[in-house]
Amino acid sequence: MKNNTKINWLLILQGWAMLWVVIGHAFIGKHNEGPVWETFLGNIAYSFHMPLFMLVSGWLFYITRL
Amino acid sequence: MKDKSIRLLLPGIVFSLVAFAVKIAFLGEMARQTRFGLKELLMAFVYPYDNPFREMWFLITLFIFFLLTPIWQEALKKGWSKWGLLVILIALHFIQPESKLFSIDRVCNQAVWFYSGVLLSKGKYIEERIVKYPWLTMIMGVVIYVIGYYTNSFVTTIGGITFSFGFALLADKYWPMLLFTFRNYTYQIFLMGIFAQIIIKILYRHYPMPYVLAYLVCIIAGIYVPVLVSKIIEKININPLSLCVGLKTK
Repeated sequence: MKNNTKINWLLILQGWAMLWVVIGHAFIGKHNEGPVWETFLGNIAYSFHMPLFMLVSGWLFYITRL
Repeated sequence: MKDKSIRLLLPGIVFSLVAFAVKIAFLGEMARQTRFGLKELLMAFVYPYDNPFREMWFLITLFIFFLLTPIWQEALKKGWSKWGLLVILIALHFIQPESKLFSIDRVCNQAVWFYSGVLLSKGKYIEERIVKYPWLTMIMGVVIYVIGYYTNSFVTTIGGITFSFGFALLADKYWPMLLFTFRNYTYQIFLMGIFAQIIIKILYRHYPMPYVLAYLVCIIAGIYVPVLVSKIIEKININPLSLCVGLKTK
């Protein structure tokens, strides 16, 4: 049961990280030249989305390989 | 190691070729122009960040982390080496070399996050301690994020990650099916989403629509086109095709 719970929140975390990757790529015009809200969301995305993905990758790497 | 290599590098090669084709087909529409030839193709793998499929840097960086397995294993054996390596990687994050060869700069920049994931997983800090305080973790994440905004981007990243952990733990408790429509296909979204988004951006230039609508469509397409393609490939069930898009084979 504990294992299932652990996997589930990790799945949510992966989905959440992916959502921010897509948001980071979603600027319609030139990067950082769109509306303020778009730049705001883009800046939030780029502040942590790839490190979060790397961290989740490291997490899964430990579970599966080390 | 062989399966990891195939799962990372084969989609990298396939989508680099697709990206070259897309870039050439829509040359006038692209922000970054590119030419295609053997030299350009080779250089795209030697310097992944210059690859028209920019996400290649992530695949190469992850692959290098997998190659470094003996270092992670050795470091985890003793307390001093475990934390010592973390200190070294934090330093490397700030004094990374400028070389983009095999995205070495990114490897140095991101290693601290990858290794932090390894440490958190090994220590079971989240499952045994943080899991009891998701709200507090989220609030701490916001506070750290704001502090980082006025001080250092490294702190901002820690804040974003902390908030994300709190959010995921909270969602697991009250809304366990959150993001279930796509969370099993994150790798495929990473590989294919950008192509769907490029198409929406090109369409927006030729068929004007409200900006907000185009933005939302761009996000939805970036997520669900790859999910749809993946589900179709799973249904067809041809192993080489599944491997090309990073799906596990049956």
